[in-house]
Amino acid sequence: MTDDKLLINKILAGNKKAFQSLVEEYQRLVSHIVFRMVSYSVDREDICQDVFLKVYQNLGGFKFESKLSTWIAKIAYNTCISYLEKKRIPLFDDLSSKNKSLESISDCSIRPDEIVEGREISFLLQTEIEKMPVRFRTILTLYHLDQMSYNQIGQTMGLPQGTVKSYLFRARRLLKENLMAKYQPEDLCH
Amino acid sequence: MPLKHLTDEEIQDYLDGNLSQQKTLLAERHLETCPLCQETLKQYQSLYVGLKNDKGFDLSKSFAKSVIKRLPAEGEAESRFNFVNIFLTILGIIITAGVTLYYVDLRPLVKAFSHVLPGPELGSGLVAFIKNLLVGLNGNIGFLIFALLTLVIIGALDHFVFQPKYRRISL
Repeated sequence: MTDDKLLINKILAGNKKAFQSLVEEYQRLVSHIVFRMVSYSVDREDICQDVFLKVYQNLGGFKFESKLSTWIAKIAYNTCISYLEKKRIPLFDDLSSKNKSLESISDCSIRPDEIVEGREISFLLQTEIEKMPVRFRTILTLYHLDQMSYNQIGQTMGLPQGTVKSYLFRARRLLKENLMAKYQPEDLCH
Repeated sequence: MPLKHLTDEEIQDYLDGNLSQQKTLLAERHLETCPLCQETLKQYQSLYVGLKNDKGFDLSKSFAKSVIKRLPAEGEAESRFNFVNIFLTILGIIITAGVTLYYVDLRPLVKAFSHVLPGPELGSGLVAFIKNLLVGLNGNIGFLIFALLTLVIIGALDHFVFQPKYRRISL
């Protein structure tokens, strides 16, 4: 029996310590999704708690058809979508006007390898990610930070793998272009 | 590929390790001689590093304990759900009975029922009851249609309103 199965059986038997272990194991994943999808909100930690309450209430229905992490990520994603819909925050902006070719900006004076160094740089990266459409930044986070595969991201977000791959490519290109277009070396050398 | 510049997608695929062995060799051969593509590759490499080294977001240290405190007491969620179900069932029965009594003349039904109860021959009494019921309704099947409609409405409400909330989060 896998570790996840053992853990779930303990939780279903009423062991709250076991559930605390599950929360501690997956809170990083949930916080990545919630904090990335819900910007600048005081509700974010409450949303994370709601996610785990839903996990607790629905754990008996988990059939191991996917990884436990993917199932929890899906609950987190759906909870955020509900929250954003309630707040009427758009989930996907039209980026067609922003899809400039790489060549048009390749002579910019700042490069990401110059940018992405140091603590301030990390902040600038976060700032630019926050400005992206919700699905783009979620995919970036799930792929790069949580090391999820296209398939797992697709299951989490209810998207085909091809769409996930396409969004990921566009998100990275957009992020690179935005960083190069906005920041000068002197902004980054404190 | 060696003569043509690599596209953004090809560079990203290369960094993700998604190119075939042959395409990887061609890409590397091109990168060795093309400063422009080398530059783009460096930019994406740096971006990948930045994204991977993201520190993420910190929840409060007592987060897990806060969640545990919010858990329903054992069986509470289940019992609350049952209570709601029982309440809705009783309410549905009362409303259905009330509407039925208001619109349908039940005197033949009561008469037929009174024949069934005292009789020792339950089988024949039941047949007589059904016969009387049909005769009493005088071909008016409004009662049956009403009962059927009630069931359909309850089923539809359950399927479209109550269940989706629970279905949504299951994989």
